[in-house]
Amino acid sequence: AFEWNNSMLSWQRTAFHFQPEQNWMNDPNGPLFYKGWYHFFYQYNPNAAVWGDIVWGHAVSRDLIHWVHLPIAMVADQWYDSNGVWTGSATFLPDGSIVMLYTGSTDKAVQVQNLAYPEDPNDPLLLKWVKFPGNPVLVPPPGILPKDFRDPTTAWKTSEGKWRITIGSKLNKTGISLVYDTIDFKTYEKLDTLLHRVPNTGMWECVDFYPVSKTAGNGLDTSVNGPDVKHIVKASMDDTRFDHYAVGTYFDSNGTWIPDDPTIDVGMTASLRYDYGKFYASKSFYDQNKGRRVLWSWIGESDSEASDVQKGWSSLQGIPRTVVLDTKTGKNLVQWPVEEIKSLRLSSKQFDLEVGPGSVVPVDVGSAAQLDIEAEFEINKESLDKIIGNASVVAEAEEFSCEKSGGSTVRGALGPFGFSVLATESLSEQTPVYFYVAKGKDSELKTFFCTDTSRSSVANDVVKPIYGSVVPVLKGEKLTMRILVDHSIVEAFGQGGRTCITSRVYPTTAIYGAAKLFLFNNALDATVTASFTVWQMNSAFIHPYSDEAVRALSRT
Amino acid sequence: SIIEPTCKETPDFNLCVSLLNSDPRGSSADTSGLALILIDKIKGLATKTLNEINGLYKKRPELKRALDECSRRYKTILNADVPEAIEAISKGVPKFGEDGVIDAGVEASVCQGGFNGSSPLTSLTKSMQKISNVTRAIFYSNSIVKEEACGSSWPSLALNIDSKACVVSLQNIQFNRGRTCW
Repeated sequence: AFEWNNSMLSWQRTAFHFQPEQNWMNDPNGPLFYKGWYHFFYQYNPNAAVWGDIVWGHAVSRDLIHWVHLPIAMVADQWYDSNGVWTGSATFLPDGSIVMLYTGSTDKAVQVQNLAYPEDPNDPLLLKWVKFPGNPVLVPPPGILPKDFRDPTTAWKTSEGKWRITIGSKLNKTGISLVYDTIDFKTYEKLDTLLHRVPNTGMWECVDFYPVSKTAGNGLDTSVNGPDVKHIVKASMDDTRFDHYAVGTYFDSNGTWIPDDPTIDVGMTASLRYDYGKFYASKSFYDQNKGRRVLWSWIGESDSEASDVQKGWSSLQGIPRTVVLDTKTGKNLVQWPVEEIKSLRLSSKQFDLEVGPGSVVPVDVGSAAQLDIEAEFEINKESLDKIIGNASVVAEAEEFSCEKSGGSTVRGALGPFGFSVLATESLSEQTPVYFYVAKGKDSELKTFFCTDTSRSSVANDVVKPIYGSVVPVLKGEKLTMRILVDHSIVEAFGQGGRTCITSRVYPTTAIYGAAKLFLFNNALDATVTASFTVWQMNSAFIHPYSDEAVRALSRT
Repeated sequence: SIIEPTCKETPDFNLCVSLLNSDPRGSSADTSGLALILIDKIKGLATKTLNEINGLYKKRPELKRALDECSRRYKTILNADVPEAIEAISKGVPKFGEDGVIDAGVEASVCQGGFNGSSPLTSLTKSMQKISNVTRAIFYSNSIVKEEACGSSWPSLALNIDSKACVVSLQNIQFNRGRTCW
């Protein structure tokens, strides 16, 4: 067995990701921007580094990166949430006030929806929350099981001027999203129709529903609709623990939605995912401060609970991402770390390297535990033409998959190539993030974006999958990737965020000063040119709650 | 009683039935109740193993390092996995219970691995792995937790598929660790 020591375990804690000072966290809740502050709430166990005793943790920031922890916002003190204050979402009313809808697990463990609001609207920190005395405002409707009714969305306006929300559930094995209209958030009318349903996808958790612009790169407030708008339905699949989404059309008249492509409907095996790694229970919000839609997501651990107990903490939030429709493909979202993350960039180094088949090149950037990497790759045209025209190069694009085709050491004609992050000098531990370009039977090339964590750690009590998926590459585009490395989390964004992969890795020797960065090209035949910049990243210094800490942030 | 049909869905019918029949609550319990009984068995076995470990410190002082690690792992089962699983089931969110149950098998395997092949705890480890796997399967049966594509979504796992359970293997300790949301 591998013996963890405290020095290894303390290195795993991140420097610029949001995490509580200690103990367990899961879903993001009710993110919003109010009176100059970004608010973040989250599912939190104040008592242990494993799930249990769930309350709403709370933190504020000016920039989504530098946070101050605030006191717990809501605890389980009512019969309708005594078994847990579970996930919820915020809605802004036209007068600028906030309502929060959240799921409570009642004293009988029935899932109900409850209403809460800030006690003092003049307090920009929103420290105190009042639970509506008439709670619960919604109980499971007939035909829905008492434990299949959770995670209300942010409300949006109907053309009739009512508010509308959706709540995930299931009917037998069909994942569904129920729809309710309300005027005052206290009484609700259930629509006879469902927002959407997909057979054999199981319980839908943490449904998210929002508009995206077909033409512009900005985000849209949740109520926006019109001819230039598509709507996204996202559900977190209880059965597989993946966040799936689909692009489609919303019908205001009856509160229904249909996917553009029914063969990749929400939750189907082939449907799109926000992220192909460790990423679940995400929630977006419209940031009226910067006119963008921002996505939060819970990133759980891939180590053992004994390590979590020893570390004293479990789970992170991913770096918040802006999310927009890919106006070039029209078929997928693009996600990108919020621009504020650049404020953490320290010194940078630029590289322009040509790497032949089978090479591994150390990239000298000093310590490599906190990095932001932006890279462009170009396969040498001569190699490319040779492969495409060569009938003896086996067509493999149809069969290839990151997960099943053996990872970064299995060499093909045109890949894999990319970076090994959190690597030791000898590469005894390393986490490769890479492209694999495969030729199809039609001689067209298909590009895959993958992260291989199978050699990320010599420890035997951590999960080390190979993650990834296909990534759309349009004619004339170079291959691009961005990687954020922050100790035990690696977030990778392919082709500007068309395909994203978040991994948790737990190296034992590639830590502190021994964590290195390498560029590699494991292709058999192709020479690749890599142009890239690597930034050292500062810590975000997330502070415990104090007036001084809040004042310090408010000066920024 | 639902004991027999439920146990048929597990990788070890005989063990499952004998554990559940040994508890007076078994005959009238629902699926969640059966899971709680098995979690009690995990707790009992972890306590017994910890006592054994404590005794071994005197008998086999040369094993101190491995015993220290085992002690820590079994304390995790008692202080984290078991309470997490009990709370999750009683609050109606069994998947977190499943996480605790899977982890119990993992911790036992890690302990066992520390003895370099000459473990004085082999039989206790195997018992823990078996109970962990049976309990996990109970989560699948009657869909306390629905079937999960652990084979397909975690292709690098060394899976020893029996029934619908993802089983922890001793040689190559791998496990699926997911979390749910609400």
